[in-house]
Amino acid sequence: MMRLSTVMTQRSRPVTVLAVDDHPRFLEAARAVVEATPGFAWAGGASSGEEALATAARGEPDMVLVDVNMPMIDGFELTRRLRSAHPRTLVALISAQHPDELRRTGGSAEYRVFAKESLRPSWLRAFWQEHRGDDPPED
Amino acid sequence: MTRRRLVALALLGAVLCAISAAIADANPVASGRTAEVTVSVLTIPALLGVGLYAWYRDPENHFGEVLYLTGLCWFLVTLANSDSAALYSVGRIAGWVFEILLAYALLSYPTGRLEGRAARRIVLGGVLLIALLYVPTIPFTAQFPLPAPFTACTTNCPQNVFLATASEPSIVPELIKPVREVLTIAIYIGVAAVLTARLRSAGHNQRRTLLPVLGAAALRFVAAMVYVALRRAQVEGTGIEIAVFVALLTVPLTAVGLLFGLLQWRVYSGSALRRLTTGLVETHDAAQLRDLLAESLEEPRAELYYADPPEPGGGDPSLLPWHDASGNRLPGPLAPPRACVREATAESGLRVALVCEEGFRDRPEFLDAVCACLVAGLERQRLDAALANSLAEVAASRKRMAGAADSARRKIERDLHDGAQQQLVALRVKLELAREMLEQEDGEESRGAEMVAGLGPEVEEIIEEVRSLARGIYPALLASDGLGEALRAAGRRSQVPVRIDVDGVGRLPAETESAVYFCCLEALQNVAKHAGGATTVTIELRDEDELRFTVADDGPGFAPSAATPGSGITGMKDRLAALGGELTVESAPGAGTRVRGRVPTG
Repeated sequence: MMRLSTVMTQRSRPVTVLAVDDHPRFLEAARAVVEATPGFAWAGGASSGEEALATAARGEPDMVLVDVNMPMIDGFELTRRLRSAHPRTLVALISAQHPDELRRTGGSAEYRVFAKESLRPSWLRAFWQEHRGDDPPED
Repeated sequence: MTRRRLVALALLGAVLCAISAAIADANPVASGRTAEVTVSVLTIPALLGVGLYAWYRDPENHFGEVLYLTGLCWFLVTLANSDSAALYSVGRIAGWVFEILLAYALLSYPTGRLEGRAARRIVLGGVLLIALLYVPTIPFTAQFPLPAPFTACTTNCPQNVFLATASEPSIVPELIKPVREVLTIAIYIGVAAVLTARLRSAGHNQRRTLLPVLGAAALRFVAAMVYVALRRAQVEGTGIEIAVFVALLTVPLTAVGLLFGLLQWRVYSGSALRRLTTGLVETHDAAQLRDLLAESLEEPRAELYYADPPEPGGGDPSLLPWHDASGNRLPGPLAPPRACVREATAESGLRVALVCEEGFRDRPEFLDAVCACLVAGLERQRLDAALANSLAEVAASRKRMAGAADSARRKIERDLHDGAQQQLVALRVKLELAREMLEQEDGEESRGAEMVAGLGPEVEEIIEEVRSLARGIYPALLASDGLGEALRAAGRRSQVPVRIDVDGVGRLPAETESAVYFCCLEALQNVAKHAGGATTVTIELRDEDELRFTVADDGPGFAPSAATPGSGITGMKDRLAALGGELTVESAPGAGTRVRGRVPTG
């Protein structure tokens, strides 16, 4: 029974992750982290909010990593739009700025923002488990 | 005229006066006629004195010299108070010359030059009259006509020493004397007519200086005509005596009238120039200067024209157009017929023309002084305008420079954030990944993993340094959220607790926000550096027409006189001044320090 219940909460397919950032170096690093994380699969990188929305519309990712500081549509706005268009998608806001220096206007009070440098396989799995309650496949 | 010469001429006058008095005193006949003798003798210092005054005060004009000469001639006239036939004869002949000189002086007042054809003809007529009808009769005249204002003697007077014949030819008393007396009266009337015409055409200012002269002259000629006429009618007794005495009295009265006229002019010209010079600083354009001119000169119709100086190295200034006081372009100054025009050119090439009523023609040095004032006024206005212009340019350029510095800082901050900081963050992420991989591949004891794990915090330190560097250059929060949030973030980083009190401050122009932010930051850093013992800092921000901020600490304070402002304070002041604001630092030992600043936001 125990085993069965474990199997019940385990996903059958990997968690797909889309990363959105206007810095290609970070997208590269994010991809490496996602690919190195068991049970996670790289769904692609988008360099702007518009591109992310278009990618998500084509194939809904399970999770999106969103950088706060982006030109045009910023991270907070993108999060709002993703959540309303894709309620099942999990969004994580990240930033290279010190939390103290994040802009107040438009969301930092409303959303939790994680430091970009804390992105690593263990964090990714923990974040997913915390918010979705199921385990990603072990590979 | 030098002071020495003045003294010498005055001394000469005193000596002549004394000689004249002594001569009259020696004459037993004259000594009985004290009033006549006194007036006659005192007329010498009256004429000489007024002449010297005019000569000394107004050396450009020759009027003083003319009047002094007239006074010398009067000295000769007073010789007729003597009982010596020779002196008496010289005195009586000098009387004729004196009449002409006095007429010349009156007609040439105040310049000493004869202006106008009428005046010149009258003087020429007088000279011809003396030369043709008086002088030739000298050898034929036994007795000079009596009574006369020129001598105190009335009866049994000395004979003419120049008499060459045994008796007077009858033509002299019968024809020449009546004719020349009529002509003399005609000349008197002519002088009075010219002076009256001049008075009538004069502006009210000239009238003031001409009126006393004309009054005295008119009285003189009326009295002279009366006594000549009475003498001709051979009337005897008190009537003619009074007429003769009045004719004598009008000579010094004329001198007094001339003095009054000269003084009137002095008072007028002095106060006009004073009004003009003191009013100059309050004029800001040519129209105001024109109004000041009219008011100062009490000449409502006085006009002012000017022509701008040529550009440096540019062409002939005389080709540049004239402007009236309202700035309208004209080919030249507009002068009504007979008006007086005076031009002046400044060193810069600025030309000024003054147009005023013709009476001022006699006062070229006064007009030159007025023109000099006008030139000074216009030049000052031009310099003021140029200065205001360049000050505005400097202010605009300071603002541009501050703005350029700000955008350069923002760009550097963005470059740091987008470049180094992002790469370091990516590197940090990859390092962690590498460590995990090494651990998985080589096991928990992997030396490589251990090495890489050690690099992580190092990279994080660098990231933190880059962040703080970028923040110091231009805090991202200032651009995104404005002054209040940026200062709150700065306050959270401060070692001394900071209380932020912001009221009514919205988003402002970037240059204002950054100037105030960096000033407050500098003040905060100063608290940390210099105000050891401070327990709280309060930053107050208010926007009421202008942005005011105060950074106050409760530290030990300092004596402002003992402190020299460091580069920090100077930099703060410069930043605010570039925006038209200012900064003050208040402190006293034991009373903390308050840095106050304001920037216009209107």
